[in-house]
Amino acid sequence: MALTGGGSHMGHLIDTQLTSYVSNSAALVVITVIGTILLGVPTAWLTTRYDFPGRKLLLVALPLSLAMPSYVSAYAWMSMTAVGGPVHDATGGLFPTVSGLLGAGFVFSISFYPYTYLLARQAFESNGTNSFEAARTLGAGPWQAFRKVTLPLARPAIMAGTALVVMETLADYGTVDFLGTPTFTVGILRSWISFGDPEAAARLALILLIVTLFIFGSERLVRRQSRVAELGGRNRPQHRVVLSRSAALFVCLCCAVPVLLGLIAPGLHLLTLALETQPVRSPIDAFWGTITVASLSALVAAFLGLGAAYAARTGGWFARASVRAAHTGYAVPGAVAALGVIVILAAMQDLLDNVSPLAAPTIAGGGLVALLFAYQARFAAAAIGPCESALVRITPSMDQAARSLGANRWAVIGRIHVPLAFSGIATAALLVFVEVMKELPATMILRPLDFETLAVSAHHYASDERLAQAALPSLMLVALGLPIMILVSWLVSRRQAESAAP
Amino acid sequence: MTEFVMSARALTKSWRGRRVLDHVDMDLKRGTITAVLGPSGAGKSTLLRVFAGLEDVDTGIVTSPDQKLTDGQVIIPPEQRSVGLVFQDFSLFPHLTALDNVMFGLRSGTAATRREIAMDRLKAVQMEDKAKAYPHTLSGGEQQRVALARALAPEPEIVLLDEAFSGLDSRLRADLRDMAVRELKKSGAAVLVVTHDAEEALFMADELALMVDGAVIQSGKPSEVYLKPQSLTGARLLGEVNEWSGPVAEGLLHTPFGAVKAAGFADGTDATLLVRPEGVVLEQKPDGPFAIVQSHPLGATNAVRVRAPSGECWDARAPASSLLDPEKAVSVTLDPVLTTIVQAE
Repeated sequence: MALTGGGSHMGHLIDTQLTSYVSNSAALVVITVIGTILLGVPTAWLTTRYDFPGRKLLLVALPLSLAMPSYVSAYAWMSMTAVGGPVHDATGGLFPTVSGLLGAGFVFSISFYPYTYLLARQAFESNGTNSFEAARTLGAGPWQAFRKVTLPLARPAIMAGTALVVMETLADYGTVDFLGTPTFTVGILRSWISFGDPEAAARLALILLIVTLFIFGSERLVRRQSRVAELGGRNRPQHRVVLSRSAALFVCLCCAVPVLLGLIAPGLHLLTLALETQPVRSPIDAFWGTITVASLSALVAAFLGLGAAYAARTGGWFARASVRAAHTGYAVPGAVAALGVIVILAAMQDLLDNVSPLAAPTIAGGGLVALLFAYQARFAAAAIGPCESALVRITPSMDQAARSLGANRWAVIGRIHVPLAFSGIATAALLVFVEVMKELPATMILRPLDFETLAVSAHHYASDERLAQAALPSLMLVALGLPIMILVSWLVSRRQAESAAP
Repeated sequence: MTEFVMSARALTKSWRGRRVLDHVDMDLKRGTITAVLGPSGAGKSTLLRVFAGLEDVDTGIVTSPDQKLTDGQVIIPPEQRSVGLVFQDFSLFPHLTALDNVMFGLRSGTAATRREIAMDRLKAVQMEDKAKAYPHTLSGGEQQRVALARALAPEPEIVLLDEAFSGLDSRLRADLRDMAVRELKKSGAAVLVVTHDAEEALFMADELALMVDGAVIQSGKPSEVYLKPQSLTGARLLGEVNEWSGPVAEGLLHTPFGAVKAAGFADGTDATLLVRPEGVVLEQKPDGPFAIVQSHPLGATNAVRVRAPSGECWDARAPASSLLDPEKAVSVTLDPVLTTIVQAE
């Protein structure tokens, strides 16, 4: 579709919009990368190197900003900093209103910094602060030791986190649309929804896909290199430096800033908005819509992820190649995935029409199934990772030990595999649940007309500049996402503790 | 030759309600290897990190001949202390080659001279062939050598080794220990070795300190500490020991294996006799009162267990050639050099 036929809109698009889509996307990527590194890397280092009161709490809290969809954060910050908003009033208008390119960059930075933070922290933690201390005893000052030893060791991880940030930035629709910074994804949606020009949408989608696949590819490459570097030393428990009272307070405040900006401030503001406002429509339909698609997707993704992980473990090259292909799905922005699904459905419709022109059922919109399909294409990859890490813990010798103790094949699965893999599979399902719940562009394109989700309804209210009405569905998204994210991080840390035990 | 490079006085530090350092005094002298032996969690590593300037103490001071280094807070940071540190996990920088690792601490001179010095260091530990290799391609023993070369390259006044050999298997450990002692002695630095391995501590040390629960319970020449332990805990740290506790009567402590003079103990006080297994001398005697229970060859000697008429069993060592088989009757004498009486715990 992208290569054949030229929509009438396309020429017009190139003349007027394409340059601004490109420049907006590029500028936004640069701002967001700088912002997420500034928020993510120092917090990762401070929480690895130092021990201070509140550190444990921050370790839980810092990744939680992921539970706040970036577009929800955008609604809240716009409303807080607009004339009459609490931040605007408190600073006497000194704090600029969050909108446009810089506003979107700010919102992305406070929403996506956990990717950089998590990967950087993992690198700092696994390389150990011993390297840093070794450098100190060899005559390097603290800043020099960080720059010459710690940072180079963590660079691959930080770059991998940055690649995720870039992919999320390019895939986002809700934030940039709301803040008036049209990027590629906005262009795709506009071509599709406003101008009804699928060819133009497909062309834009193809360009975006090439860019994200390139970034995705480099992320994989970088991650492979980082694995080599991690083999350099043996791990042992970290020595954390205990800080004096005043230093601890300062560090604690510094590390709390991203959580405050990304989660607490917008969350509280939405809460007050929601409490002040009488909803014009009950959000209960949208709520059930979200629950339905998110839980169905989670279930399917867990099965697919488990199957893929088994295949990758036991299968030959074909299985492994398929799994890698599924991983690539994560690089596909939601809008692109949705268009892809429509292309497939259209092709199937053609096929059916040709076979029996009269009796062919109409599958055009595709309905919920198409939506679920698009979600799987995009998020199944998120399920493979945790499933794989769950299966890795099950070694062949465990099977043999269980069999020698009299367990038959089914008993081995029931009593060894399932309990060991459960937390991994649960993690996978929960992650997909949260991702689907937050997803906006694919849902906008593929949803049946009478079907609402919380994300879609929040977006509609916000686009109509009825921010107070958008607060309730937004808040419900956060309220669903937050406990799940906490549960996920608990499951992951428990699994790590168990693996580290022997 | 006894010039202090660093001395610590009354170092005390608590961590989560536990004493990690308890009034520790220690002097590090030029050309002298001081070993601190203790079980894990005894505070040895903390002590070493305090000397390095990597950790604070609650009270106490660390000084060098010309300045105060730590006074509660670290005053002089690690990079200004002229210390070389070898970690248990070696902590080589994985993104640098062996040569670049060794060059890291060299700051003065041209690149060419620094390279030359680093190469000489690698040569001294027989690693010149692997100069271009990255740490992850090196074996544990090779990483250890590079780590030692890196620590010694800047010619520090003090070298600190933190369980530096415990990650290696036992044969490799003995080889590397030999080489390490040679290189450390050649460097003339003051050396602090922290370990939980008694053999390693005894082998390397000029001065040995035993550390338990944050406190130094005994220190001195290694042979002296080994032969004359001042407590049961100290004796156990350095190897196997037979013990017998009882009241002193008429200046003697009566044990199942004979009476021993308890000089300095008042009658009626409880005392503990400590005898190393090699101090239990066995002689084959058909009418001897003691019986061999079991005998296991260790190589040059046999580990023998001998039973007294009272049923008490002690460990002894006998030459492999002595043919002391189980059930044979023997007589026992206790070698006074390997026998000590200490206060009962």
